[in-house]
Amino acid sequence: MSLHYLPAIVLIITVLLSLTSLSLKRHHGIAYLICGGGLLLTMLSLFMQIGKTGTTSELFVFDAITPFLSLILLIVVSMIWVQLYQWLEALDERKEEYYLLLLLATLGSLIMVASNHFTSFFLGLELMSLSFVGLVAYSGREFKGQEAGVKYLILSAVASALMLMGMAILYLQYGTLSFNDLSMQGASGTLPSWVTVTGIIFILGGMFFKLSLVPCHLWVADLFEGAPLATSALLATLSKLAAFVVLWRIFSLGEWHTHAVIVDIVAAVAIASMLVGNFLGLLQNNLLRLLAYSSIAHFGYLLIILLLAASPTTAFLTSTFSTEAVVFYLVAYLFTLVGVFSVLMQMPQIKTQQDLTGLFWHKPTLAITLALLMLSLAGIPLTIGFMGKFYLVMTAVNHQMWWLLSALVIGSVIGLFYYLRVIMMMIKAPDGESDFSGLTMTTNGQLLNYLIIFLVIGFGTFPAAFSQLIETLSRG
Amino acid sequence: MLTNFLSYGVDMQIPDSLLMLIPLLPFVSSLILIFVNPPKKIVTLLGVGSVGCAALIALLFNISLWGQTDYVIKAGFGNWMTIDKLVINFDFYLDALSLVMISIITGVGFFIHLYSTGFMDEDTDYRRYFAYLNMFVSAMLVLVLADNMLLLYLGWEGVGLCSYLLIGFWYKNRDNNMAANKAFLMTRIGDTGMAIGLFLLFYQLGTLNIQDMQTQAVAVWAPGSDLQGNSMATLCCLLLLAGAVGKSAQLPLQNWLPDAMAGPTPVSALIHAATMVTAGVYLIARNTQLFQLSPDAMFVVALVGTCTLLLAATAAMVQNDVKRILAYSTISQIGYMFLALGVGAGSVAVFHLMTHAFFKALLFLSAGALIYSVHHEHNIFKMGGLLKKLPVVAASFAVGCAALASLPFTSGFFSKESILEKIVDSGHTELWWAAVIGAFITAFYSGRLFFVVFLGKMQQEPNHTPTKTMHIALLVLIVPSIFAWMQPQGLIALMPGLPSKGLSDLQHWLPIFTPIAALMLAFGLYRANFFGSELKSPALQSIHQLLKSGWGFDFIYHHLFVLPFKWLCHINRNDIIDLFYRRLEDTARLMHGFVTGFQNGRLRSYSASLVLFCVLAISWVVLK
Amino acid sequence: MISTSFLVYLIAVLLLTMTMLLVSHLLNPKTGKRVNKLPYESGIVPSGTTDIRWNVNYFLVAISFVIFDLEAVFLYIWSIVVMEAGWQGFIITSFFIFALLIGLFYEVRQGAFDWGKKQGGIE
Repeated sequence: MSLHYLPAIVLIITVLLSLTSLSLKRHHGIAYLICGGGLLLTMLSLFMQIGKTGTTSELFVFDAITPFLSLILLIVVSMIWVQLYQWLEALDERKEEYYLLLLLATLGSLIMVASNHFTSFFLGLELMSLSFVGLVAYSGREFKGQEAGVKYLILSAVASALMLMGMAILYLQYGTLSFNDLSMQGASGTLPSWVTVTGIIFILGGMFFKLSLVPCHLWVADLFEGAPLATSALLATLSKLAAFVVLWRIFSLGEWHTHAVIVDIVAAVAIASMLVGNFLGLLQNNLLRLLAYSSIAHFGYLLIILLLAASPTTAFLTSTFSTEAVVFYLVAYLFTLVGVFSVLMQMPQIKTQQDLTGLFWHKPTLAITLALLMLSLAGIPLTIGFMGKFYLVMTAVNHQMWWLLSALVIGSVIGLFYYLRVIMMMIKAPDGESDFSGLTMTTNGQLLNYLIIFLVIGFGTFPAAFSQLIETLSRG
Repeated sequence: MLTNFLSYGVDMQIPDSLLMLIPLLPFVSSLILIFVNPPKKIVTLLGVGSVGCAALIALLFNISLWGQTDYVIKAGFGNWMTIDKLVINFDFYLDALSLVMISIITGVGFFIHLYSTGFMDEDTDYRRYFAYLNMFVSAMLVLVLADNMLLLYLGWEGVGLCSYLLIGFWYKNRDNNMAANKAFLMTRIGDTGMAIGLFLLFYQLGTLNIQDMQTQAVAVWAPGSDLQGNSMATLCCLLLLAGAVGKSAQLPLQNWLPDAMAGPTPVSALIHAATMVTAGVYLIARNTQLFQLSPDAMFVVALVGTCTLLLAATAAMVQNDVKRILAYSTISQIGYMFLALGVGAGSVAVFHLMTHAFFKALLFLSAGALIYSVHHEHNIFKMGGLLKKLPVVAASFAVGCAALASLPFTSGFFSKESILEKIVDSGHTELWWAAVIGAFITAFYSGRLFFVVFLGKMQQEPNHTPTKTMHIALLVLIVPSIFAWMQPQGLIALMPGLPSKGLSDLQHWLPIFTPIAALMLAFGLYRANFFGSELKSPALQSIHQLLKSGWGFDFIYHHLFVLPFKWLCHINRNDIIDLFYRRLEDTARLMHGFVTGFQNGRLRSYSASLVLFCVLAISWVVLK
Repeated sequence: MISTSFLVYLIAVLLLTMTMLLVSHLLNPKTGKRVNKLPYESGIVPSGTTDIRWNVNYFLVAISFVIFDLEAVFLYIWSIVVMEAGWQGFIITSFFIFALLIGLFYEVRQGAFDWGKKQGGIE
């Protein structure tokens, strides 16, 4: 039992503690504080690990970048947690269990991020997915929320089934489930390579579902719309980040890029996601659906990173630059997205772009924050989103992936339209129909807004500090 | 006592860094006026005071440099940009030429500001007016003090912008806006040429620092070098000339200036006397060495000057509007300066610029007082007999007209005389004749203007009397308009003169008697009630009409440029290039509709999509 | 990748399935009886509607059963290696049981097993 397991242990104990306190006495404040305390302690224990030498065990890997990514995950969760109290108070439902499920989902994602074995990966994935089913359906008697919950339950079961099938096929080939052994030549050596490829495709299918990439992207908009806001935020950040990190690890450790077909498929999916995601968003009116579509496109951009390994000029993991690019992009995207969701959580009655009309003239801080975040999502210079995209494009240029790059450029241009439309709606003269009188600004929310502005603009203007940190981490 | 003072002045050392304050003071005051809304008294204090302080500093420099001929003062704010070879500093450079310029700009500018406090007293946009005015002066100061062409260009554009704002100051009247647009666009044409010239100069010489540029130019395009270098020098000079022509309202970009009268009269005074139109003269004077490398370009400058001076002078003869007469007279006088520059007599050109600044400011300000007094009437034929009612205005007008007509012993006489003398020295006899004819016409219309306005029957009772500050400004300006006889010493040293050839008797006496003769002719015609009467012959009428429209340049440009452009716009109403983008838009919409079709909300198609992916991927594997 | 045998196989599969569907379609007697539309053509004839509401306690009990059943399975595996696993195994297993105990406690407090009361439990 080394220090590396401490965060997970802290989380488990927090879960048990809050379960106990729930059984003894129901109190929203207590549950909120226990959850927050647990998150804080977890963050501290993760913080201690940053820069320490890592270890690898059969089930888990703790390299230089794992604790950092876990920490980012927890920061994201905490940023959502900050707003949960007000938001849950308004909800007509039992409130305390939300924290429980939140902690369990966080635990699942931590396990996934650190997993080094299909077993731990699958356990983490299921823990997270099942918690998410609860979180998605956590909206009282609202019809859409229930529908979204059922959809997520069934679809994630299908995805898990596919992935299990893929794992089984790989086990057939290699006789082991450890990621480290995936690059070995087939143990049995008798099966042709397409069997492996089929297994990989099944796993990719499941992962693409989690990452909502084309063509497995259909569910994501319904879910974002139906699920409670906080859950959508978690779904967009926590689950996708964890899934992407695992996919990235399997892809590189298993040297899947040596299969030309897999590279083709991933490239096709990436291009399709960039284009389809942005096309879907183009005339979308509902803000949450818009975010869902934009996340499809963003993970399409990120898939480029997976393919870097396929390029003959660099071997994976030796090139720290692509690691840096991945981490920077992920972090930039996560912070931006969390920012968007927390702004939306501060104005729960706003659902569509029309509702935003004239927001700037009523709540300038909120509107400016949202506008900056939209610019960051669009990748406009001086925002963190631009730096992320810049890294991505630079790596892609280095590896001369012109097809993917051109899709990225076209996608970004299309995307610009709907991001800017949101801003335009906000600065329009108020039409008198949208009513912002119900908006009350809490101190929490205000502070969070300033923090978001600081992060988005600060790291966008001076990215050097942040990228150096990542660089040292990925070297170490 | 005076000598004591002067000798003390020579010893007096003032810090170079004070130089930076000169453009900075009006600039800061302008910024304050833009962003803060102080009470009116403070506005006055800031607006007038800042320029006044700048004028005081300029005066200090004048005193400390008195009698010296070869001096250079540099001060700077540090680096502006450094891109490879291109190093641009915020540096100011003061030598005899820029000293004369800043003295004129701040000195005359100060009195115009002072006068404005009276003139604009009742205007609701008092603060905005002074903000623009200060900015205008500040930009012009940057222009003349700039150490490099880019900074000069910054001031150049600043002047253009402020003139646009000030000409269209009363923006509620559409005509004023049109006049502002016209001024801006016409000068932009020249500016574009100048910008290209700057690029070319930098490309050829590798520097934009004005002094380095001169030495470099002499080194690269030395006289007697190959033909190509010469033609390159000519090209650069002509491009710079394009900028100068635009700003100084010379042929063929002269027709914005008469319309620029739409602004408040003190603004016209500022544009005509101290800032804006003198910028072109300054630009060429600053780059004298460059221009001397290209005799062809020099000749073009002289030719432009000559044509302009004749054209504008003839146009001024027939105008009714007092301000238009003065505007055409400015164009014509600037033409003299260009002529002088063109024949290689830069120092007299600047001398004329100086005297012109004094008497033109005086004329405009007294015209402003006149207009202010008579119900904002501009037509000279509706005035008359105002000599007794407005004695101060009449006196200053008389002095201004005398200087403009270059009657002996006024400042204008000395400067114009030296120009004519230099033309003779340069050997361009035909240009000399043209200049003398111009002088004759100038004197003629000056006489016409004065006689019609101030003599004879009174047409209209003045309803205002000019305020005290206006009177002070007028009275002060009378002094230099008469007594600025001396060419600044430093200028002669700075700009090489021409070897004197000696004048023949005719060349000596004719220019002196020309204005007197012209005035007498004007008086005679006035007595005969010729001015303002209907012309009998249709031929004469059409000539009158042609002259009145400033030789019909507006008409020509309208048909040559505006109408074809409108026609092209009309043809391209649907924007041919845009069609491509509209198709793109349609495609995007179509794609959006297509992909949205899959979002049907059915669980079964969603789970089918997962299977679909696996099937497609595996079939790819199989089929590959 | 595509070999002749694969193509033959593909065509054969398609032909076979289509033949089977076609033949059964041609051969079946076309009688429009009511019972033909029922899910089960043989056996008990279903009656009533399937849209009935089950008490949620039913699922809770089912889930609780699954949980404790699995606990038994885990403990069974541990019991095989109880000596080899030693104290560390004992502590981990105890923790496992303890965690489940807390879950049980929670369920009881939620009223998951209060079958009689209509108001209790999760509404």
